Amino acid sequence: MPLNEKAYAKFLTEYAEELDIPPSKYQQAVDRYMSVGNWLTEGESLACNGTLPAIYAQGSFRLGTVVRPLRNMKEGDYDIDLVCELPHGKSSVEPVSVKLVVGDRLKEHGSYQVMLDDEGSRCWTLEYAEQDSIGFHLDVLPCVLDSVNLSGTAISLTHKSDEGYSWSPSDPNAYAAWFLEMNKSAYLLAEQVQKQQIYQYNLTVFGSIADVPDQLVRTPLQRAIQILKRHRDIAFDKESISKFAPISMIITTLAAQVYDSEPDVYLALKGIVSRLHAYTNLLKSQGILNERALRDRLIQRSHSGEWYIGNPVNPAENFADKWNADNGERARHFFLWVERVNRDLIEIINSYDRKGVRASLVSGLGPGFIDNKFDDIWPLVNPKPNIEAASVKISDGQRPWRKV
Amino acid sequence: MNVETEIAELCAFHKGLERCAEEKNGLIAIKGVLSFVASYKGLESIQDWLEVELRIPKEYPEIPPEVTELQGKVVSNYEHLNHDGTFCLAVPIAAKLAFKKEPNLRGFVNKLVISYLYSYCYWLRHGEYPFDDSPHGLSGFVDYYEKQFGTGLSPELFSGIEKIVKYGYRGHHLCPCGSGKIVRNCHKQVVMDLSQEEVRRQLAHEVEAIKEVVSRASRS
Repeated sequence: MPLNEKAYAKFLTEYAEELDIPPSKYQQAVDRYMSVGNWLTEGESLACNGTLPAIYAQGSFRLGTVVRPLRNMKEGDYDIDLVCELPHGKSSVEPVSVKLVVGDRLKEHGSYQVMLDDEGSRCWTLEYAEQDSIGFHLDVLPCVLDSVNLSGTAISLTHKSDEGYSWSPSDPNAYAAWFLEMNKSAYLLAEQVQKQQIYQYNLTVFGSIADVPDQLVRTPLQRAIQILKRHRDIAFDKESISKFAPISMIITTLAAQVYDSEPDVYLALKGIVSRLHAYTNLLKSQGILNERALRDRLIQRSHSGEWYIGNPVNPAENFADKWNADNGERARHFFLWVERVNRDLIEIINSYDRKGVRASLVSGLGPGFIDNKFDDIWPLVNPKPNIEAASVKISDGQRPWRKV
Repeated sequence: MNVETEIAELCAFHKGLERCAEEKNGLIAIKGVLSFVASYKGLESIQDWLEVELRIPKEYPEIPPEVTELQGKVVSNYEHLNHDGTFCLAVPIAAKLAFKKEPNLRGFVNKLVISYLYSYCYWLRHGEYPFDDSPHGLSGFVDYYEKQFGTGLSPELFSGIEKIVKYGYRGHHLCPCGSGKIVRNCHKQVVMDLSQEEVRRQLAHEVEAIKEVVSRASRS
C-alpha cells in the first residue's frame, strides 16, 4: 500500500522542523542580536542629531523560512542577518564611512572584537560559539534609509568590491511585509495551536503562551519553502553545478506567489511545484504557457531571451539577473530542479515501490531523517506474494457499517 | 449451484484463495491472499493484497459469509470492523441486495469485500470515504431508508416501511417518501427491492428493533 497522504504530510513537517531553528535557539539568537543592537545604538558615533540607528532582522530569520545551511553535506551554522540602519541621509554620507563606523563600533566591544570575522562585502560577521552543537553567526549589515525611494522603507546597503565601496538598494521591510501578507490567512489558522505546542515543549524558555513570538509559528507555505531550500542545497551540492543553484529569494518569492493556502505541507509543495513547472516551456523559444502562468507572469522571458523574476515590492529589481549572464544555465537548472522536486517528493505518493520511494526521499532530503523515520510512514510488511491481482470494477460502492 | 462449485469458481477468479481442508467450528473456511486492482468510477484505481479468511455459515446463502483479515494490515481501530474483527461490509439490507445481483461467493467477494477494501485503502490515503460510510447500529438502518427514499425520517417514512413489511410490494400504496404519489409512480424499484422475501424478513427484524428502542426511550 502506498504512502498515506496525511502521514506523509506530517513526516514532511517533522523534517522541516529539524531544518528549522529550535525555539530555544531562536530565543537565544534574538537575545544576542538585541545585545548587539543595544551596543550599536548606545554608540554616539552611529547617531545623528540625536536620532539613534534602527536595528532589525531581515531575510529568512525574519520570514520564518530559516534552514540550517548545508556545507559539503554537513550541517553548518545558522545565518542571521541584522540590518543596522543609520539615521543619516544617503546624500550626506559615503558608503565607506557607513560601513566602517559600524565595524569600529563593534571592535570597541571586548567580546565582539574577538568574535568579529574579516570584513565581508556587505556585512560584518560575528561568530558565536557552538552550544548544544548548534552554532550561528550574525551578519550585521550597515545601511542608510534611501529617501529617494517612495516606499519609505527602502534602504541602501554598502557594497565593497575591488573598485571600492558603493550603495546597493534593498527593501527588507517592504519585502517582509509583503511575504507576511501572502502568508497571513494560513498563519491565522495555525497560530493558536502551534503557540500552545511550542509553549508546552519550551516551558523554561517562555513564561506563557502569549510570550511565544509570532515568528515561531510556521505555515505550510513556510514549511514548504524550508523543504525546497534544503532540497536545493542537496541537489546542487556538487561543485560543478553549485553556482547554478536558484537563490533563496527566487524560491521564497515564487513559492509565496503561487501558494493557494493549501492546508498541509505536502499539498502546498505539490501545488507550488506544479505551478512552477507550468513555466518550463519558457525554456523553448516558442513555448506555450497555461492560462494561470500567462495571467500571473511570475517568471518572464522577453523576445530577446532575457529572464525576469521581479521583486514584488520593487519591480525594478530582477531576482533572475544572473540568469541572463550564463547562457541560460541557471534557468535550465532551475526547471530541472523543479522537475526533480516533483520526482523526489510528489510523484512518490502514488508508487507501490517501497524501495524506490525510500530512495527518492533520500535523494531529495538526505539520508539521516529518512533512515530514522521512513519505517513509520511505510512499515515493512511481508513481501508481496506472487499472485496475479484480480481486476474488479466497483459499480455500486457499498458504505461500510458496524454492528453496535 | 452448490457451495463447492461456488468455491471452485471463487478460487479460479482469486487465485490466492483456497478452501481449507478442515472445517472450523463446523464451518467451511476459505483462506489465502486476496490480490486485487479495483477501480470505482472516476476515482483512482487501487492495487493491494491482504490475507483473508471467509467462513461460510450453515445458513448460507441466507446469511452471508464472515470475513476477517489475518495479518493485521487493517488497522485495529478502523471504525468499520466489528468487535470480533470481522469486516462490516454494509448494512444488512444493502449487503443482501448487492449479493442478489450476483448470488454466489465470487459475487460476494467482488461486490462486497473488494468494495470494502477499496473503501478502506482509499480512506487510509485520503482520510475520507470514496462512497461515504454508514452510521453504526440502528442509525445505519434508518440512514439507509432515508438515503433510499431521499428524505429525512418522518412518521410517513416509518409507517411506509412498516407497510412494506406487512404487505410487500403494493403499487397503489402511498410512497413512503412522503411525495403524496403512489408507489408505482414514485420509488417503485426501491420498494420492490425491499419487498423481496429475505430482504423483507430483515426489514421486519429492523423495524422491530427500532420500535423497541423508541418505546424504551419514551418509557424512560
